[in-house]
Amino acid sequence: MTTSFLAADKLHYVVGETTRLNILQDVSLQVREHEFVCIVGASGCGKTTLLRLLGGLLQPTQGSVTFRDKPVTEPDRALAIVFQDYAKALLPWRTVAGNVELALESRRVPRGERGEIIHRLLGQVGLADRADAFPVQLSGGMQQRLQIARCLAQSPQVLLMDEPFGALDAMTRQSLQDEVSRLSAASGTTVVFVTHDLEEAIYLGDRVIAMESRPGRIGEVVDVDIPRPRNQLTTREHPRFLELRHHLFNLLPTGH
Amino acid sequence: MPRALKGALLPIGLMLLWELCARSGFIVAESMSNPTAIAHAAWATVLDGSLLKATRETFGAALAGMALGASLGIVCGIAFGLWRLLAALMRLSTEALRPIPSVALIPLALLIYGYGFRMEIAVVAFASFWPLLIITENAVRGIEPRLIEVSRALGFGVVDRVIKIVLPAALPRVFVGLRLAAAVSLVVAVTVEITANPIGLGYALIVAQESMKPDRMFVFLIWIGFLGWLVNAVLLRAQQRWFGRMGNWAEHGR
Repeated sequence: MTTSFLAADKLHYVVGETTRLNILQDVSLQVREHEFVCIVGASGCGKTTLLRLLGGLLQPTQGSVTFRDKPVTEPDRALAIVFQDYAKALLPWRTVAGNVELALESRRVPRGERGEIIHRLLGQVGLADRADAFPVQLSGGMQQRLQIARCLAQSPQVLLMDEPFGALDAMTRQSLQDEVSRLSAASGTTVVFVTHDLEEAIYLGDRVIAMESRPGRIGEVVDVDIPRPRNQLTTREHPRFLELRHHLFNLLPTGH
Repeated sequence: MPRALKGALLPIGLMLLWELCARSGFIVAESMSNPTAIAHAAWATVLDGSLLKATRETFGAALAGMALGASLGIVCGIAFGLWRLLAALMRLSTEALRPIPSVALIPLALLIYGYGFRMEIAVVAFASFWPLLIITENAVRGIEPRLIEVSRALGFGVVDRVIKIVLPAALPRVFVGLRLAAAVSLVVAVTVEITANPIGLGYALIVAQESMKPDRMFVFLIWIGFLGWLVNAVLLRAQQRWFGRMGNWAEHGR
């Protein structure tokens, strides 16, 4: 038997005691190492819940999440979670550098080594010159970059991203898509990326998992066999891109 | 500056009127004194060191009491805010103790500690415990849940979580509680001195009254008012300075 990387096995997630509401029903999936998996679905289909289960922030009613064959019963620094509401996930009393340092403190990186790591990570997300600013002084795109830098400072094996660019304008979103693509390719970090934007899912993913709603379950899984590196203009005009978009579009309910 | 000047017009006018009334015999100088006599008395209390001594005693007791009560209040507030079960277990006890006016504890404090700093510190501590308990507990409850998740995701233990996330997140509101407690502790310290404890500004006030020295009494009265204003002004300034630049994170978010 081959060891699995990150896996969900027959997850059920139910809320409410009297009126039980099925959020997720029988969700199983396998994420391979170094893979970029996109989970796409309408709002309310349970995709965020699935991500939180994968990250150990929630525990399933039934079934299990395993990471390298060990059950995930609580958050693990190897699984970094990038929240959608970046403004709330940053520490407003710490500078940009201080926010990145938080993750280094959690790893007990010696004080003397932190400066260099912070500088390198901020450079990777294009915030090197804003190290002394406070989060409130940054634009939305920069705040999300900062959160990504902090997650990278955890030196994670998996980035779990919950609609990370949902609140950003189109231009910023595109440049961040390319940055995350580049960062994950360069570092070999596995990414599980939740979005409601079908095109974003196809553009970024090696694989797209389409979810169905009420109760949330896996609808279809498609491989995105479009060459990398991808390009905002040519990839989106690639015949295979359009074909996948058509195919998945019909699968997802209205709203997309 | 012109605005501060405008604000000073009324008090200066009243002082002049007071002086005028006292000199013309319109009010009896034996009970109300007059500004010139008060100024002379003030100088006398500075020269004989009694003002400084009384101020040190009152401030010392108020500060020590507040440090004790406030830190206990913050610790309990954080604990109650983080653990609902603990808060529920303590709810009845705190609700029963809280309505007791702190000055009603003066007889008890006297029985336990006798006259002196310790009884005054105990009463002040009781008084300044409550605002910090309540404000800190609410502040901790109101912390952005996402921040708690961030600390879980990073695998921080309880101590790190409190030091790195909970305390700083609650700090702007805790500081408001400290300002409240500072005002309360000064009031309570002076009250304890007036009613029971023979030290400090409150006692100086009562001695001046009993020895029929209204000018001296007014010196201490005005001085106490000035100290209260000064303490609040200093803390307000500190608050703006420390929490102004980063945006006051206690106000937004939730």
